[in-house]
Amino acid sequence: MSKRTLVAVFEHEADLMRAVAAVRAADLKIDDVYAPYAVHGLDRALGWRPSRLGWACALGGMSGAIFMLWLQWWTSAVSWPLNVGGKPWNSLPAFVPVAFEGMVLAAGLTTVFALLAVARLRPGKKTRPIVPGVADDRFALVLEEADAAFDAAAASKLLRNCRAVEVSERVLEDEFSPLGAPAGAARTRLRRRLNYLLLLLLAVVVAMVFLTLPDPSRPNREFFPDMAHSPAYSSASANPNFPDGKTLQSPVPGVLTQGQSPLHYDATDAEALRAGRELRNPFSAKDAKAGARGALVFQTYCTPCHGGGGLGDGAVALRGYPAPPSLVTGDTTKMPDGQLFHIITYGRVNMPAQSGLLSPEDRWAAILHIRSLQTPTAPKSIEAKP
Amino acid sequence: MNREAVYSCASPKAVRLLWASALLGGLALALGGVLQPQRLWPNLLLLGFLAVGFGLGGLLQIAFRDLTGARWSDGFRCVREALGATLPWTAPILAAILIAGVASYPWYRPGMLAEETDWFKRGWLEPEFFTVRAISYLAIWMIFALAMVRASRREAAPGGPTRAGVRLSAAFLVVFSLTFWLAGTDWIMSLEPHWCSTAFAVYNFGGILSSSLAAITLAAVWLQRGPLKNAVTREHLRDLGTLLLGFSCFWMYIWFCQYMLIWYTNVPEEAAYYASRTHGLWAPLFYANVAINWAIPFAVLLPRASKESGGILVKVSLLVLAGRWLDVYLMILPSTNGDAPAIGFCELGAFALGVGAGGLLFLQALRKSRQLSTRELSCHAGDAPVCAEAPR
Amino acid sequence: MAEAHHPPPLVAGNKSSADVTRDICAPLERGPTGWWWSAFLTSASVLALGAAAVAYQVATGIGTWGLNRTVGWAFDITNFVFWIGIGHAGTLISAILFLFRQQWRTSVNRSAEAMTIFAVMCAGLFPLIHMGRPWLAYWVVPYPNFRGPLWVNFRSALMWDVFAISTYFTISLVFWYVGLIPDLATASARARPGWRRRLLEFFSLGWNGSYRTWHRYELVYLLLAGLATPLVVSVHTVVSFDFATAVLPGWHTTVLPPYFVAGAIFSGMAMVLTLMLVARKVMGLEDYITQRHIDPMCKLTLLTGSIVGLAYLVELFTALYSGNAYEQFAAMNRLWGPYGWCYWVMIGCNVAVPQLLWFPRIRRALPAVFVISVLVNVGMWFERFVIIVTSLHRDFLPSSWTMYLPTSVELATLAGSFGLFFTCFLLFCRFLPMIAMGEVKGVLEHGRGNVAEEVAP
Repeated sequence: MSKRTLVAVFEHEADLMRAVAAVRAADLKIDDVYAPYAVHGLDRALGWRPSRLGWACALGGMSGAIFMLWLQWWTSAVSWPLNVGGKPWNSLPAFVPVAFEGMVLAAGLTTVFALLAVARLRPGKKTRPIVPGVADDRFALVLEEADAAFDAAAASKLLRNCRAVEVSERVLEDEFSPLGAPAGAARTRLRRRLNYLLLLLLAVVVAMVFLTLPDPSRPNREFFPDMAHSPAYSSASANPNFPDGKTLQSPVPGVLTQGQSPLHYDATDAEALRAGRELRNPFSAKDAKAGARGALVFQTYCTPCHGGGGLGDGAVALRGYPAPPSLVTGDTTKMPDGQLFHIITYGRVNMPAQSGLLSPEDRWAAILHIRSLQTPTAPKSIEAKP
Repeated sequence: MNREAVYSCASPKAVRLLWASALLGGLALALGGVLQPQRLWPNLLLLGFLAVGFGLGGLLQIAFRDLTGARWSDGFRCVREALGATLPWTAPILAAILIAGVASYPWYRPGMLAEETDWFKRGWLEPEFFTVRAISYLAIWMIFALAMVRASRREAAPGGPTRAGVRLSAAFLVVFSLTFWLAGTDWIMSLEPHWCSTAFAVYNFGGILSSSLAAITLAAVWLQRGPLKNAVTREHLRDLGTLLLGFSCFWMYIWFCQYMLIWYTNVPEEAAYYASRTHGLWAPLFYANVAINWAIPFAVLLPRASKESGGILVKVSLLVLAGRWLDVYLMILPSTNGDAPAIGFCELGAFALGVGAGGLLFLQALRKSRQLSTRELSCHAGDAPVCAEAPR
Repeated sequence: MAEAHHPPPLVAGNKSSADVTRDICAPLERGPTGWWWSAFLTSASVLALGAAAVAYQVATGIGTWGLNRTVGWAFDITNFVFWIGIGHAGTLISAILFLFRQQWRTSVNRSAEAMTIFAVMCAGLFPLIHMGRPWLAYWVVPYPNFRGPLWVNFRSALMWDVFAISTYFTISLVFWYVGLIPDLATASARARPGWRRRLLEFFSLGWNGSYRTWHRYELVYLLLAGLATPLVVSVHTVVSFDFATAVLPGWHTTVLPPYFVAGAIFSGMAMVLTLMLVARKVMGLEDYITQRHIDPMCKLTLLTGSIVGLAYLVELFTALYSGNAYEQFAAMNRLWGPYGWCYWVMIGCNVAVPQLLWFPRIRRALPAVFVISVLVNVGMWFERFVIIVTSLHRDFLPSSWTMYLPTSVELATLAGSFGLFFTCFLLFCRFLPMIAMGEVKGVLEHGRGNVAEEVAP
């Protein structure tokens, strides 16, 4: 659609504003104004209503916020409820920041895209300034010659009175763009053909998607296997990297487990005597807590053979197993604590080693209890019931 | 028009209503003091803290204007001056309330701060030290109020702030930020002696900003219908509405930061503050606070049209003012009142007394405004655009 | 009586609109100067150093950093917060000051926004490298997937960061670009035919100066400013949540969000000053970036610096007041512990030095302002380092107390981020109009127009 217009050029903002007021007073129709910057207050002078792009912004913002709130609730409370620090599934306060960001992002992008759509701006769009310098320091006022009654001469006079530096009649093609005819016909044809080609390509791709059925028996192709397949050997599998071919290696000889203290004795009687000379009970006889612990340990692990009073009359011995010697008379009373500790640790004759069952502290505590059994005032009351 | 215009535009009926509200409120408060003596002091503290907050809000507006050189609001600068001028009246009252009520603070009881790590707090909340501090904060604010309101009233009508005025305002901002933070900690935060939050001062700052702006908006709309008909334009109302929207969002922002961080980390001594306020009958008030101070004003003020409408602005301002009362109520009363809120003679009386006495005090201060004298008004009439434009 | 201030004009030299177009397009149209080349080559080589360091650490692993079991987060997050903070002043100038109708922003907003974009790019680099396998960065995006119903953890503050930073980058970019469109049209109208003109035309979207478009554009700009303002506050708030949602003494404090925002604007304002003071000299824009621009920026630096100083005081006081032994220890450890010197560098640069800006004479002495702005940047970097490392290195278990020292790889990465920033900025100065011509013309002509109107009747 083309229209006849009258274009006036101004050098100053003040002149333009006066011209706008004069033209509106004369009841002429203003098609558009071209300016190098957003002239303050010109919209009011033109009597234009505020743009409604604010609604796009509000709508975009609201949908962004609602969508992000929903997404967070749905993923955290419905699709994949995961306990994070004991927070409730629906952790509303924690969802506020992301919902807010979603709102701002959606509102901002909606507004800008709405502007581009409404103002018909797009990358690569060709344009020609309506008058030279309108992007620099000139202003152009475009009047529409709406009907035959338009008096171009009078209008020109009016505009020149407002210090218009140039007034000319022009035919404009498009309502919004002062651009002449669109690009050449040959180019249009080329573009159309290209579009058909692309459309055909799209159709082929879509058809292929529908025609090739997925085969659920085969795994998908993996581009980034990431952690789905671990490169580590499983502990029971063979391993070419070690001389013995095992993955799970034995500990280095002499290694101690955490918290264990080394005990440099062999399991012989001579070593037991040496232990008797060298080791001391870390608990004193007056240590009531260790004593109580010792009584408990003794009752749990020793009474089955040694009997509650240490007489060697435990339930096992009574049923025919070789009876152990009495702990409260004879040799045992003369053995130092260290020797007893060695015997408990490594065993002796028929007694098995207890080191796997009793911690060193418990062994020392049990010795404390044995000593208390050996003293004449020892209570004989802790009797194991057969 | 002259000074009397203000009084005449506040119709005798309105003045009578304010008097009645103040008297009835005082009476109810006295009755409440007899019936529920344990609720009297917290309500007095609430009233005093609120009132001083409005005075400080007025001073803050004067300081902001002096320092930014934003002259758009000069057309009704008498309002912020009057707000600031109430401070010399309300500060001594708050001082009296605080001195009389030291014993009501939980930390006053011996053995409350017995932990070894409480050494600093024990020293800080020594009753004598507390009293001296309270008096000095209030005295400093009073001095600033007298000086700043005087400087603001003396200013030549359309000119910018004087150099001395700018310096005074800068000094006030420095002193205010230090004292207001400590004052809030002393008077309000220590009601829960084991709770502390570093954002508490900022939160209260947000509260006095939005509530004092609501008061200014209310007065501006009211004066627009009276003596300042030409000085308060539609652009002014829109700017006030935008600022109210912004300050309300700032308050909400600080509210959210404080609440969310305490909710998220769930540290027992911190969470106790919100636990008592989000359970039982306190919960509806707790959520109403957010709605009144932010959600409703935000939704209402978002469209441009409502920011330009005096009627809507009045309603929103009244809502925000009520919201400020509720906000401080929720800071104080759950600490002193226990499990459930109570509305009785004390609460209603304090509220009515605050509305009545505060309104009368404000009107009294407004009457002294130089701006409302004939000469200056004529200077302002019709040249609103001068004020509406930012300086070039 | 009052003496009203009559400020000097925003743009010196009594320029006309044509002068503005010519002056601002000049750096684009003439060849690069020797200054530009030397600055560009320097920053590009620093960038190359950083790129080499990044390549090495991505290939080798994060073990090349000085982190240990106790201090699992140090240089990377310090630099991240530092750069994000730098960006904030750009949005403050372009959006918040626009809403407050501060017209002095027009000369500096374009470059401040560009600074924002480059700073956010630098910031984004660090979490990306810290992921170890940066090519899997898309895993932080919640998209329907076949890894079971596996979603990101929306209750994590780090996840909020992802959304905050990406939104911030996008909106800043859009805001900057929308502001550029009219100027691109102006520049393309002047450009000689060639690839440069074609590019400028392509990106000016067919802008023809129609007031119908200007009318809508103004509203869109206002809306974007209205959106960017809460956005900028939210971004550093979310960054502060990374720390404040932990229960670590020195991190968990409710004032951290507003205090971080103030600190961010503080550091960013200092960076704008640093850049502008150099750029006005090197690019010959002394008439456009005048004392009228530098003075308010100095005042904003002073204001935000004082807020930050107050926040330090509040934190210290509250730590003592809290009666919590760990808080008290962490506060004392910050002041007097092995990293105490960092704390005092921070106090010196962030609180003490900016107080000089109270004096108008110092605000007018541009070399002094430059030195102060650089010191503030140093101080703000140390602030983040102090907050992060001192809270971590002596945690609840004295047996795990340790020290952290950056390795050369980390230092090279930090240097490289500066290289990236300055390289981008120099390219921007060279290829795009550094000052918003449309806005400057509007401010100039509007002032002139009113004078004419007053004289005419």
